[in-house]
Amino acid sequence: MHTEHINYLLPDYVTGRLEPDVQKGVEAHLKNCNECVSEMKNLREVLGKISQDKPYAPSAMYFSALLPQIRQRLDAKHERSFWIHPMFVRIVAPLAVAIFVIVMLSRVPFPAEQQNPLKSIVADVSTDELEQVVLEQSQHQTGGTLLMENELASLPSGKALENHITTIGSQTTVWIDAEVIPSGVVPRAINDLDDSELETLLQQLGERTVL
Amino acid sequence: MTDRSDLELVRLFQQGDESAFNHVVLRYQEKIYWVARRFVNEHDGADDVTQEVFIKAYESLKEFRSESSLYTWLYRITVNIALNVLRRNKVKEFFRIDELFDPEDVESGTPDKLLERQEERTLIEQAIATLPDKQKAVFVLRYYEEMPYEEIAKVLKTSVGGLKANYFHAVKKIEEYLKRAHGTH
Repeated sequence: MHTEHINYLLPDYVTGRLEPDVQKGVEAHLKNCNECVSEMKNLREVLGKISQDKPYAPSAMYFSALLPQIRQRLDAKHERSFWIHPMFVRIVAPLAVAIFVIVMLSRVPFPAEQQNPLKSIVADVSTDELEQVVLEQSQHQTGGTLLMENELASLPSGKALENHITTIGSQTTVWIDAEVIPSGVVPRAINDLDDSELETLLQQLGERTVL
Repeated sequence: MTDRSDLELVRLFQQGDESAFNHVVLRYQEKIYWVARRFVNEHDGADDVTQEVFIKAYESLKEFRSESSLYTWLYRITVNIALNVLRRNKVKEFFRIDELFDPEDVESGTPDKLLERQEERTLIEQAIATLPDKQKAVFVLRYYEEMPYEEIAKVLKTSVGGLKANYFHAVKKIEEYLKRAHGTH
């Protein structure tokens, strides 16, 4: 048996882990090889020291707590993995953010919505139709605020009514010609109409539409 | 379920039985812990490695195809994770004295003797720590785990041929380290 081969077998020989027939071969070699005997003694010494190296064992509690710890880590890992899953990161999260932004934007009040919604409806009515309705309303109206003298003086007189309706919108003003409208009728800006007046106006507009 | 074979537990787990995995952990946790402990030489590191091994096993067990035994497969995971931990830590805080131990394991003897044993233990752990990865793995699996070379070859995915030489050289390096440390080289 070659010396090198014996060397490689010596650690197992020293610890008694060789197959019986291999062990016999090693023993036969050692009888005739002082070099291998010396090596065997060195190995026996070092492995003897290592065999005394007994690390402290963990407490008895450790192993009974190990499985719950592993399970806890697995649960935490699975929970985390949902949030970092590519499907979530690439699709669900951006979609959720987009929906959130849209919802938030839809809740921000726009300037038009700050006005009385009835006024915005009136603003959509055509000039001719509005003119007609106001005239009809004024003919049935018995009360109201009288124009001040200086305001009456500033009114254009004798002109066609359609010429006296200025912009329809937030500043729409309907001028009622004194010759056409019975006395006591008030020229009013649409923005100055209160809610009940606007509702009356819209009701009349609706009736006209139905007709 | 404790009387089920490893293969049966694996099959049950693959069919969705979570408790089968618990039995795998309970069956192997001590073996895995002690292999890990021999690599990293301290309890906290061994604990980390052990938990990592079973977490890795849980994630990979669905694909386990029984090409090797569960035991060999778990040891392979353990060796890989332990060596990775050692590489990562670069032997940082490598030789700490354990704080967590079983009081029944406390050695008897005079303080001088205890100190001497502790020093010798530290030297041996240092010597093993200086071994190259493969020699370290072979030494731990062969000496401490008494694993047959054929099994070691499967764990390390290598041929049996060089393992005896690896083992011999590992022991020789430990011997040389101890001699140098004692100033008797």
